[in-house]
Amino acid sequence: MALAFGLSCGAALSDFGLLVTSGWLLAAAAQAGLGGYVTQNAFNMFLPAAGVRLFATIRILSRYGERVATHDVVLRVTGRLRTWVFANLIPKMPALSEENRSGDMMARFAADADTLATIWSDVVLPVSTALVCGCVAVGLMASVSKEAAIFLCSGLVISGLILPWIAGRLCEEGTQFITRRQEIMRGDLVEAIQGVGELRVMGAVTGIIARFETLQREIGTARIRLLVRESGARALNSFLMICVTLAIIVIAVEAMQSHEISGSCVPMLMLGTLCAFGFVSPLVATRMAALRARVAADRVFPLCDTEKTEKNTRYYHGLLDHGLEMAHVTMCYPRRTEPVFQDVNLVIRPGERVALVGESGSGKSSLIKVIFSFYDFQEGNITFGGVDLRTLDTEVMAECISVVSQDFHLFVGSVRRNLLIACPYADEDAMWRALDAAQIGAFIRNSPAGLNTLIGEAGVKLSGGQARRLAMAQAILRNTPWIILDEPTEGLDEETECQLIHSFLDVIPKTTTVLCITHRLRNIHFPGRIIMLEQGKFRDKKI
Amino acid sequence: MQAKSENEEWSMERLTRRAGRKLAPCLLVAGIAAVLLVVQLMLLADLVDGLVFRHRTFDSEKTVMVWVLLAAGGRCVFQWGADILSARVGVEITSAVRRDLLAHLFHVGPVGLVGRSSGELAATLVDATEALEPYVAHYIPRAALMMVLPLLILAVVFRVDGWSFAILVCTGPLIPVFMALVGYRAQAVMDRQWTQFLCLGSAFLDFLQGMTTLRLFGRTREAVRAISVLSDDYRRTTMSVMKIAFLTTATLEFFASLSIALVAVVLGTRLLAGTAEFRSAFLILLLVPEYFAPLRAFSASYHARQNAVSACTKIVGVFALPELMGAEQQVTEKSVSVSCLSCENLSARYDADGPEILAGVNASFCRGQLTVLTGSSGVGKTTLIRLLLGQITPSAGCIISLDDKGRESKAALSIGWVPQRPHFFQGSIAANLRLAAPDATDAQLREAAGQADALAFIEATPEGFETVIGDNGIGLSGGQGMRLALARALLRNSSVLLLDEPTAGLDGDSQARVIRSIRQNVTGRIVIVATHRAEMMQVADHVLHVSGGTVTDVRTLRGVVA
Repeated sequence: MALAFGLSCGAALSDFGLLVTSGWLLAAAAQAGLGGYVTQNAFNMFLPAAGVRLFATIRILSRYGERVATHDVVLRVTGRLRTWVFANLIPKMPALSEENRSGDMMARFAADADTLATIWSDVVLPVSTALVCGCVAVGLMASVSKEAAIFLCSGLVISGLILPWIAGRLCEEGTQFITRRQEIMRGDLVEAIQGVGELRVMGAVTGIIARFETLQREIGTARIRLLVRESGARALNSFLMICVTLAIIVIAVEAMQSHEISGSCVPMLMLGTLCAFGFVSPLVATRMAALRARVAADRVFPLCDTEKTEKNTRYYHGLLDHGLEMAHVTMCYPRRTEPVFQDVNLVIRPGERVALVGESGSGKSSLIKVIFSFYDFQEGNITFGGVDLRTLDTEVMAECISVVSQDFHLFVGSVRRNLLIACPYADEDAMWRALDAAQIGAFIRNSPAGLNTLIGEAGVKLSGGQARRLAMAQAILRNTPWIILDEPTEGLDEETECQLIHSFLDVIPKTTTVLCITHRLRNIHFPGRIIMLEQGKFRDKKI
Repeated sequence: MQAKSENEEWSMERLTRRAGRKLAPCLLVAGIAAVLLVVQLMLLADLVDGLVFRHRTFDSEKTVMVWVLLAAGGRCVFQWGADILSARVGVEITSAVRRDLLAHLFHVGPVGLVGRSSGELAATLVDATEALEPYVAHYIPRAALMMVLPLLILAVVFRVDGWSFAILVCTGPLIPVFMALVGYRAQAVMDRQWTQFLCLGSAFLDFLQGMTTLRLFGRTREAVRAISVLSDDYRRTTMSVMKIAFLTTATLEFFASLSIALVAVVLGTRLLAGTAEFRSAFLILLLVPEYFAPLRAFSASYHARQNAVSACTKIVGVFALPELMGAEQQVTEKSVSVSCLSCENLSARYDADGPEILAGVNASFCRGQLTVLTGSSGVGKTTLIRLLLGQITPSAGCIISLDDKGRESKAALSIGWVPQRPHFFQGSIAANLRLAAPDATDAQLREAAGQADALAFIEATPEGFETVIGDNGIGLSGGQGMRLALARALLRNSSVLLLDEPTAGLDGDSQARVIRSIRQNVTGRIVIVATHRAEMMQVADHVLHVSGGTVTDVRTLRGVVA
């Protein structure tokens, strides 16, 4: 970073040096030329000419180096920020997506992280370069003429500080507005793309496109309004530059007439002024970049703001000696008043086979969310393996328990990839065994690409029942001591359902604890204890 | 055919031509600004020369100073105007591309989008179109201006000093040549960069939406690593793009600096020898940076052009998706009068060379009848429903809709649909329901929800119909989502109802209520239900068994109800 800064200053100063020396060279040569033969010979042409070439070379090299160094830093920061955003989203995930659309989060990941990282190249670097080079320019000017230096200094302050400040004030609201609208647009787009089928059938397309158009128009107008201000500030800047240049010419000529400085200094001072303004002219754009970065920061950081709690992240065998115990647990989702569980008790011992039955929406699936600490419970105690659940990390739970959740997600890619996500060390034999046990092996074998068969986003190339069986295969493959099935047979005909449950129970070790969540008691061919969930309470069904 | 015409509509050449026409006034304004700049510099050179070497007084130079200020002011105003005009065109063009893209996606339909990740599509719609803006707003005007300002300056220099003219003429044209040489490789790298960017976006969205699954598997760390690797790949490619871009700029700067140095030294020598005058030398020194400035601006936005070309490839790629669904047809009075849907020899496959999912299906679905499709999982029930929805076109055969008088009707069908995995949008329950019927009153919402057995759980929430649900129906249980989707389909009051596993995730009591209201809604409608549930089959008029690509009528319980 320091390197980039040094190079940036070097490039800017050699720019300044190049023009100033050339100006001086021309003026001095012209004067010498007028002075006659003797002065012509006495004039040292070599030194300034060499200086001109030196500055020219430094300028090219340092400019190139500066750009490479700066962008390298920016891109590294962007990459790290993106990974950081993603990593911080993980622990907040199912709860967070209630308030934030995935499109919004994607915007923060893709666009905001990018904007934030450019702080270095678009804000820090130009500001510091302008500061250093501006001071050098004023200092050099002061060594020739104090009065001119004062003029230059005040001109630079107006153009580099006051104008950007005003522009920033004027554009603040607009920038926030645009970012917000763009976020909405991205969210709308992701929703619209994923819901294309339903929107078409519902005849809602015209409405969606109209809404999109309005958004686009609003963003467009706001953008132009910002640009009018920003580029107005830039225009004012160049006008100011000419005014200050004229003033400095007047001062310099007056000084020359009173013989304080030589004539050759006048064009030099003038060129120096023009060049010094070049240092501060990017500052309006810098102010805008700073604004955008601040808006981006305001959006990224709160989203990624997580409370760090010390959790037990180590898995140990002792966890499997005791089962799951819930005592007087009350749980209520955030921003809901009705609790899902009210003072419930539940004990599942290791090795048990349990069916959990309840009405739709009664909170069966919420049990999984509580066990994996996706949501907090408010009262009571839950222990897993004799350890307080609050101290157990989700990762540890994942090592003990496999879940086929109702809203399982299959990832873009092949069957193999999805199986490997479930169990990274599985070999092909194990994969086929799991697929066969899930009653989907035959289907995969029959498709030409086998395990490499591609399934689309969210597994759309598979039918509903096939996707669910693939999710079952994932759980079987993981071979964890506990398995929780959430409506495993949805979308299956009775025959397949029966086969599936039987082959599933066959293939898993006898010691595996199984919790099967369902609403269709009569259809489960499932040995073991049956627990009913009614009005937020668990109760054993007497058989 | 339509896809093709639209596809060409936004190819790079068309885009450029279209933008060029709109940019004409902007170019005129920018041209005036350029002329004013040259005038301003000439006046400045005159002023300095007069004051320093000709010992003129301030009084005599007052008019020149006023003119300098006027020229500078005018230039700033015109430049400002040109900026605004070009930005307007940029916004206009990108908005148009985006609108057309979105409309196209709706024409492609859900089946056509299978395998295209939505993250990638969203990134194409937002970021790739965004990349066109600098191309339109900066590159095109600068490319045009590059023809004007340097030539103008050359003309001035030619009048003033022959030597400098020669230097500039020699170095100027070298720049585009060298830039082309350096930029030659950049395009391929840039294409790769875009592919990686879209890949990163789609991976992020996929991981994000599957985060619960990842956490349940305890595999989040691998996902973070995958994202980090993808980001790093993207960084490396971007960096190589950047390096090439910087090299082009460095080439330019090399020539610019070389020319300034050469001009300065040559002029210095000649001034010393007295063969040149200061005024023209100083003017040339002022003009030389301006001679290279548009070239430099052009090369800076040359990157924008390459970026836009690559982005445009991605955009054209989306436009090239076949429009499986075609344009939306307005639902009319005629739609309501459809009395029968008849499939004749209907076949379907997803890939041109893939296996046939359905082969030669003959079936008819009449108004006032409830037809149940059954058959083991993966056999093609959903495919048949997709055909009826028009989401895919049959590979052979056709679906004919007949009106009351038994004539073939071409009117668009009004359909209510409950898919296996219903999709919801972030917003209140009421807003989600009103997507199907924007003018529905509160009473109608309640009625539809009641019929779908959704009223009880909606009213149990403190905010009732105003309860906000997340996108993808987060906050709803599986059965609740299903019932909400059914309510939405019923609200549409359509002439055809297509229900794919509508009782999935429902317990016995709720299922009974839902089946009862589906049965009630059969009157005056064509209702087709895909299900495995025996309870549903019991109330059906027909049960069609789908297997081996064909459909057999296994049971007609109630007979034909007129």
